[in-house]
Amino acid sequence: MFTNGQFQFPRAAQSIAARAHIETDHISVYSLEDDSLLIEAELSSVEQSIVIAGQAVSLQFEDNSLFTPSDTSFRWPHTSRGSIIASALEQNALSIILALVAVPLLVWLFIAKGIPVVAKLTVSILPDSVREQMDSQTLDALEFAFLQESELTSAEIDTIQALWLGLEKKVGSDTYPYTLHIRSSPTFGANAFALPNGSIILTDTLGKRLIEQPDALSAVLLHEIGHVEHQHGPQMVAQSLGAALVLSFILGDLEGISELILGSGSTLLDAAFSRDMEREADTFAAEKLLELGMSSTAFADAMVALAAEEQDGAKESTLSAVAQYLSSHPTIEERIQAAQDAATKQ
Amino acid sequence: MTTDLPNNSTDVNHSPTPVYRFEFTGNASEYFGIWIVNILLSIITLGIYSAWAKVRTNQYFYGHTSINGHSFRYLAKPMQILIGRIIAVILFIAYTILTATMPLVGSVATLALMLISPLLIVMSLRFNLRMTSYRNVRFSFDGSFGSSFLHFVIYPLLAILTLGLAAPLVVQQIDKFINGNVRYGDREFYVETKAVVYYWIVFVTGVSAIIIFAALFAGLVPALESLGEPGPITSLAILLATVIYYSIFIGVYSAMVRNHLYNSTSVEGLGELYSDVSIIGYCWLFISNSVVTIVTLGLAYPWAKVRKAKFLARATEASISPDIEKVIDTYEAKTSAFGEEAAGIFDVDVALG
Repeated sequence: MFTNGQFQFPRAAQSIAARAHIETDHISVYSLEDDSLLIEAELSSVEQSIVIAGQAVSLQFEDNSLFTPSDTSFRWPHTSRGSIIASALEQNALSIILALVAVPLLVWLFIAKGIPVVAKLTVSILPDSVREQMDSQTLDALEFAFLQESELTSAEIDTIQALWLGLEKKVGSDTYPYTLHIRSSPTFGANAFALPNGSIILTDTLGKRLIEQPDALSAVLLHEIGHVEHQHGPQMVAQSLGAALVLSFILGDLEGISELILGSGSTLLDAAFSRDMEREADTFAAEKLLELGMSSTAFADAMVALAAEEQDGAKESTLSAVAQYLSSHPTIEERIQAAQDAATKQ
Repeated sequence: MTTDLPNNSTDVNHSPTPVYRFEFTGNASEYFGIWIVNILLSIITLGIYSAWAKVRTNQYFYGHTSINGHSFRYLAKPMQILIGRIIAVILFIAYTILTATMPLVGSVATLALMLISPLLIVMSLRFNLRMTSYRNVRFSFDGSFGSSFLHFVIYPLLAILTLGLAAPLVVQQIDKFINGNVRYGDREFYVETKAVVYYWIVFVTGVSAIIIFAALFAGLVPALESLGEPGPITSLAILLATVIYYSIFIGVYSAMVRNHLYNSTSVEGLGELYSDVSIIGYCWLFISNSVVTIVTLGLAYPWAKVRKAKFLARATEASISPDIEKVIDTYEAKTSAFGEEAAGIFDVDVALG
């Protein structure tokens, strides 16, 4: 068996036309010009390039010289089976169609099911010391950037803290050292949020708005305790890390798919995770309200107070349908409805 | 065909060096199969196969790019890439956890990453060029870490301090650093770009961006008003306008920079590079590629990538002296893929012009 091609000398950009002869795993390459022997070797000592559509498989000899057949479909004996299979799959209509169907399904499965499961698992084995470390730094950073000393009167603060202590004693598990921080923050407006170790921050604006409705205030605080109990903070971190890894590791070089299907998708995904978490925390609050003998409508009241704030903001910036879809919380209407449903069920 | 070779070496400078055009022989349907099958295999092997996928994809594009009857080769081994990628991923996980859980320590890590990114860039350029060969001779990158630090950290800071006035100069210096340190075997690349041309390019790009923005705005606003209530068509029209705007912005800038850069580049004792990318053609390529890729939900990506490779090959020439046979390969050391993979995962990659 023989094939014509090009012989490239070792470590130099010099090449000549040549013919390769193969006899039982032994290869000899002759110059086409004067039939002189250029190189001979056992095929086992020669490295073959990968098999890929439309390209010749070249042989790299131990001294680094190279023979490339002119015939792109020519195949040497002993080509790596993996390379042949990969190339065959890439050119086979059936495997291409299969891939076309399976890829979107698998990507969806990974992102929607795989990542949250892994995130929950990671979070459940996270040591408490790490979590505490996490929070003290986050709180410091927040205090520095966005929070100021509360401007409420000490009587108001005492009222809220007393309510909080009562709640925390009844509801909070011992796992987390719960504390309530009341702070003034123009950035956050009427808001409350929780850090994973049980530090809960309530802004002056929200505190003041709900101080006359202790049940509604309780609902808000219970919602935040729900976030802590369900470990939503660390989960969020684990989830975005998981999504980033899927993007960069599994789909790393296949820029097309990661940029288009997932690039913008990951923002939507984060928002979807976040909405699920808000629902979980809402459910937690609703259940605890009932346990404590308060009305579930307290939650709806709190939502109405929050909604008042949102509508003020809405006048300035018209929210498009897309922006609402992107929003990290379920819609206020949906949450009020859910809270009222829970109340009527009772 | 025979070429009249000069009788003695003194004549070499007088004989014109033959000029050849690059050619890309890949096609969209072949690459589509490679692309989709490699994605599937990468997913079901939880990412392990992505290293093989990278080698196969690069070899497909390198092997189908040729000039003067010789094609390029991509020589990285999947195992090298896999190891580099695993180390990079572990560091990335550590980095993400650090920045997410301990913002103060994390910000130190972010600063550290900024400081070592010039190192990653050099390692990545070295790896990519060493893994590229033409006529059995490998390319390499000769830029030092110190010089990389100067170009990717100090100069950009200067650009910021001058409120962007020095930015075109900085970009010119960065492009010169990247391309002027390329070696082909024992031959150096020389880049003679001019800062004043970069200022001109930025000016032209800026003016076209303003004109296009005004034109799109003038066309879009009445059209949207006539539609009445904002709906999906509004979003679609805005998306299309954004795609057109960015495509023209990128198209004008990259076509002009590429032409200037290539036309100012020569290879020691071998010849010169030429690029004649049409600005309008390049803008149209970006617009049509993006629109078709979006409309097909990404499925046309292989078609778009092949189309771009063909377009750029057709717009590129090189004069190659017969002396190329005297080029000696200097490749020795083993090289690690870590820098390349880390640069990719941490997003500090730079592309060769």
